[in-house]
Amino acid sequence: MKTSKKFVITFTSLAVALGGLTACSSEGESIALECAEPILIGAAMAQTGFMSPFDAPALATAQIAVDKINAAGGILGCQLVLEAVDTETNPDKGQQIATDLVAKGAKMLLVTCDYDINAKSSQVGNDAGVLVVAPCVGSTAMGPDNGLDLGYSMGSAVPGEAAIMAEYAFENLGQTVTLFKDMSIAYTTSQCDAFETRFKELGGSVKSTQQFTQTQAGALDKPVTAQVANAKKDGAQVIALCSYPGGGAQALAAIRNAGVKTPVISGFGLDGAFWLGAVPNLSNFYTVTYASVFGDDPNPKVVDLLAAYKTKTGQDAATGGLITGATTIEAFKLAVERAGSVDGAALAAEFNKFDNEDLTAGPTSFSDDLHVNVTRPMAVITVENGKHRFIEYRKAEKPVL
Amino acid sequence: MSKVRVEGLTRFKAYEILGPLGVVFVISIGVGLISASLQLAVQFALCNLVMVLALQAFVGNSGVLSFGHASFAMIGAWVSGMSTASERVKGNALALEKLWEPLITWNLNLYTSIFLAMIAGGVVAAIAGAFLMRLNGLAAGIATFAVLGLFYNFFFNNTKIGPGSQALPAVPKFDGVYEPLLLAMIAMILVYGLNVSSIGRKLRATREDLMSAPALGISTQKVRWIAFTLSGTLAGLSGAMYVHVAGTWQVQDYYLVFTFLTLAMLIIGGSASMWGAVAGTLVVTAVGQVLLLWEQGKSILGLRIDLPNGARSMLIAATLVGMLLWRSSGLTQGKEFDPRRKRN
Repeated sequence: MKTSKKFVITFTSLAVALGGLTACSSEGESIALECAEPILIGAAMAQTGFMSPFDAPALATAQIAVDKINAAGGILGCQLVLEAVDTETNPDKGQQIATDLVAKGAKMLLVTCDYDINAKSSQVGNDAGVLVVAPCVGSTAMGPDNGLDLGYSMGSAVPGEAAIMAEYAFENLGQTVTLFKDMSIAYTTSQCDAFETRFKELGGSVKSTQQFTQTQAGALDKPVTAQVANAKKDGAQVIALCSYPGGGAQALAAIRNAGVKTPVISGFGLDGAFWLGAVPNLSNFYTVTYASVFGDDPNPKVVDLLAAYKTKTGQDAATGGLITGATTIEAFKLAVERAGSVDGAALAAEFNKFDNEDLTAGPTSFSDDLHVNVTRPMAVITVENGKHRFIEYRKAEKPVL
Repeated sequence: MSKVRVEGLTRFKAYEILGPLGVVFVISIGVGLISASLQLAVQFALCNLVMVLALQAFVGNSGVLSFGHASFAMIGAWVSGMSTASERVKGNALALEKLWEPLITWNLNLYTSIFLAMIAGGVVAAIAGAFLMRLNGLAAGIATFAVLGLFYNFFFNNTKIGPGSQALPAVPKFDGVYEPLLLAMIAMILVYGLNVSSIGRKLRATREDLMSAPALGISTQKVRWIAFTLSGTLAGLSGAMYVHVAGTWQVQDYYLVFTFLTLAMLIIGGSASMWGAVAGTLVVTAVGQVLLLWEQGKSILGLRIDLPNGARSMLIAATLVGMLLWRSSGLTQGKEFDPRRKRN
């Protein structure tokens, strides 16, 4: 008897729900979301530990974007709540936090900006059918090839970044290059590999590849004296430095201290001014990054966001990567509005249709197979006498995929 | 020192095994029901429990410290993870570009892969043990540490057989706590069986007196080797369980943190008994979870203490030091579970 009663209840509620649905769709264009409570966005990101310099600013701009959307009435009438729990850059803790947030009903899960650290938490969200976004992962790892059908990165990935570096260097700096390849992490090795491919394609030549490594604490493993001597002997017109602070800054200091004044080009890894103390009076240095945090970015959305960031945190932004946090929330809003739903698969389907959407980080596109941007323009910034200056926004003519 | 007390002196008593089995069963199911993240914590704790049991079987009984067991877990996890991860991911993931062709199509079902992982752990331990079991004391500890370093570097740098320093994603996961719970209970029975067997007693004889044990006709090297192999098999099981809870295989998961956490659990619980392994795992996990919540600024049963991040690891380390100083045979004093025990 019990079962049949249950069945009747289920059946009736189903019928009511179905009736409701048809009623909704017959109303026409306007889609409204059911929101008895606000839409929960969970963040299993690092507020401490070695990923925090990347994660924390992105998280702060995500909160800024959430506040802005809420103030303007929310998404389809629903308010947003961003709940962030610190993973301490610990993948296991991240997994547990992600599990908790998903169980609480998060409709989007934000994860740490490095795939090796977020692999476990991403999978938790993906397996539970929740949209997973890493604001600034720079590799092509987030996506179906790593089992993440619902996983995306709002970052501009290495295939595009390294192509821009190579194209800019070839056009403006010279046709021969010495590569300084930091072997410590996948980001930097793949960056130099892609640079080499694109540079040779353009007709440039690689004189030599100098390898070095840095420790987890961010200092050179060994001095790079021999590598610098080799580079000096090469006499190439450009040096491509694939690295990040502090080892990357130490390597750059070694290059300049040896009297090598050749232009050096680098990627997002060496964005920012916080490491310039290691290389006093740096000149003839170029980086390709998300945006300029030095007050001269031509994109008004970036300028507004940086101002809001300063008001909120009381600090100047360290690197341009932080704009991806706000971009993540904007992308979520767009997808929810188009899908009329917060279901993970429905949102992913909308993300896959993204074609040069106008977001703060720049035009953003995804496809069924590629869940990260490789064609978005990035800022080329130069340093002269220790001062940063924005040069141009530049798009990869041919990403190295 | 009027009375000589030998730790872990055991004959089979039903309550010694049924008691811990009951405790683990009730706590795992009960806590697992509270929330999704606690269920995950229980799953991880059960993986650690199997590892601590593996350590107890060898370290506890022989008195020889092993820092190398994580390498058997690493191998077990690799076997079970690599053979069950989806083919699409193994063929396409960025970190697996150079993966050896036959590994891409290697596909086993979950339980076959776990069984194979145990065999792999056991075989590697048997080979390593054949050499290492000749050593004693400090030399043995350092040599086992070298084994860990060897396997870690092998997997970390070899991108033909795995993701190198990166992650192998999309490994199928256990559904709920029942599967790991069953495996952990089997491991408990095996270890208790070893502890009360003649091999177990002989091994403890060599621990108590390395000189006189051979006079009783015990081959120290042989009994240690048998225990080391069985223990490696269980470490392989622990790794295989871990990979199906984490859902990814990363070589870093089976390195220093794992090694020291599980050794701390064993020492805090009391290394001489199976119950010590269980108690240590339970207590360290429970304390860790409570501190974790306090670190996150949540309250437990109305009590809230704001702890700075990282306090958890510090407190566990401090507990370990305190335990070694004032209660060196652990919470259980090296005794098996006994419901009738008087407080001493």
